[in-house]
Amino acid sequence: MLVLTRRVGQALRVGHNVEVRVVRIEGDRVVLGIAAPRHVAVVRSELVEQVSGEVREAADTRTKLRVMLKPMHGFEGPEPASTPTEDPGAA
Amino acid sequence: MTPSASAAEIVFPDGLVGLPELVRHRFSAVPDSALYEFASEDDPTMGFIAASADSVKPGTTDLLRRRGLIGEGEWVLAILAVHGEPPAITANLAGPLVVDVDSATARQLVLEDPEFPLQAPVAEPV
Repeated sequence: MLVLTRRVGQALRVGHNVEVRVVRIEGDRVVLGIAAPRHVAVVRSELVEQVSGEVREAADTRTKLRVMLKPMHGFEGPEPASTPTEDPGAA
Repeated sequence: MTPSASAAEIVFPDGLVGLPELVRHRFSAVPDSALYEFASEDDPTMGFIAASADSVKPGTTDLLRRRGLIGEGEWVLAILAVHGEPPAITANLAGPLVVDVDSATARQLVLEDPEFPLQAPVAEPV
C-alpha cells in the first residue's frame, strides 16, 4: 500500500481525473473532499462490505422469501439449492 | 423494454460487489409482478430475488439517469432479503442492479446516499 503524508488543504490525484483533498481534521476524523467524474463511484469501504453482505443475506433467505411471496405470485419451478445456513422449515 | 418472463442468461462482467466470481446468472421474470429471480450458474447455492427498484422507491430509475449513473434503456432492480422477527421483506437500494436487457449484461452499483438504504422496507405486494 502506498502511504503519503498530506497537510490540511493539500491534495493528491488518483489517475488523471480524481482528486482527493484533505479539507480538515476533527480529532481522529479526517474530512476529505473528492472530485471525480460522475461515472466514478466514490463510496466508503464499509458500505461496499455491507452491500456484499446483503447480497449473501438475500441468497441465504431466498427460500424464506419465496415462501412469503408464493401466495401472491405463485413461484414455480425448482426450489433453489439450499445453503448451509438456510433452514427452509423455519419459514 | 422489460425483461421477458422466459429464463435467459445474464452476465455480470465484473461479478457482484464483493463477489466477483458470480458472473453468469439465470434470469427470469415472475409473471404478473415486479419480481425477478437470479440464479447463479457459477455457484448453485447463490441466487436471489429482486424487484423493480421503482416499485420499492418510485422515481429511482429517473433519478439515477439524471445523475448519469445509468444509461437509456438500462433497468434498475433491488435485491430482496428477509430480516427480523417477525420476518419482513427488505430491498437493497444501496446496491441496486443495473440491467441492460439488449446486451444481456448487468452490473451492481453502490450508492453513497441515505435516500437509498441497505434495507428499505418493502410494502407488499411487490
